[in-house]
Amino acid sequence: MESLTEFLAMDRYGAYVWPSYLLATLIMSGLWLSTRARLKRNETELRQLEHSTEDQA
Amino acid sequence: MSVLHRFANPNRFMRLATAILPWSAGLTISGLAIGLYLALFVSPPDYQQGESVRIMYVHVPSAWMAMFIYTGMAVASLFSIIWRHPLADLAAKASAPIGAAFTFLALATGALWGKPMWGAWWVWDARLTSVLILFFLYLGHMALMNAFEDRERGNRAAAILALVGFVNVPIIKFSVDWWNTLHQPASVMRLDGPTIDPSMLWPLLIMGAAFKFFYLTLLLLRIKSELLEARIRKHRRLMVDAA
Repeated sequence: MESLTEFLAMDRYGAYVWPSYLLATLIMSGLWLSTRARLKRNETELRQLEHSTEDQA
Repeated sequence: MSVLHRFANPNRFMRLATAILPWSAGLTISGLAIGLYLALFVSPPDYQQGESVRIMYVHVPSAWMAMFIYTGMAVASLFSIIWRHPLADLAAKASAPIGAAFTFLALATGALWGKPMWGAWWVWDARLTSVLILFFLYLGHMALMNAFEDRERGNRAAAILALVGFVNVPIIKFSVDWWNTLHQPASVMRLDGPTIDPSMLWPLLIMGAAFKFFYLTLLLLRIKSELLEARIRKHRRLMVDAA
């Protein structure tokens, strides 16, 4: 337990080290999630459009 | 040129992207896992900077990405302007938000590193200021792409901005040699080889590679998205014409 506390403290630099890693995690997950969500949305929309144009034809 | 134009065909690009994506995603995940393990648990504290040096393993790869992606955008813009390669504009458009995010990350983690080491979150020196300018160039590119009713004009304006703004990239790279600064000089990409100890160099290089594969993965997915959006627009136009 002591070693975990020590690890998290980062020899008094914890307040700078962990926010850096947290920010990297947030920004990179944000990029990944938004990219994926947009792709899925476009795939669904295109499928629907293709269906409706087929219906018209 | 002919090789590049082969991939101008959207279907061919889609097939290539589908083939690359599992590899780039797998290398991103394994690279990040190994890199983070080495960075946080294996690499030693620095003899001067202590444990704060671990910020380097996210700060430096982010800064590399900031410059790498902008360079890629400048190359894509050249292809767009000179050879009118149809995927070049899409690649630049897909890259800009990723580049902006990494530039922001480099600036923010730099501030978090600067505060304990320099005693300041921010200084207006050449390195930090030129990276801030890079961030605004990315934002400007994103704004220009969407500023015109005519898509072609927006692409062209953004491509010109990317090319003109490229002058900033060597300024960033050499700013630490040309001007006085608190920022450390280059210790990895130097003509006389890296001066950084292998116990720190390896985690840094692995994190750097993982970030590159992450960018490649996102880039392919975002270009795919752009191609789908083009098809959606085409369908919409057909429906309007039919009605």
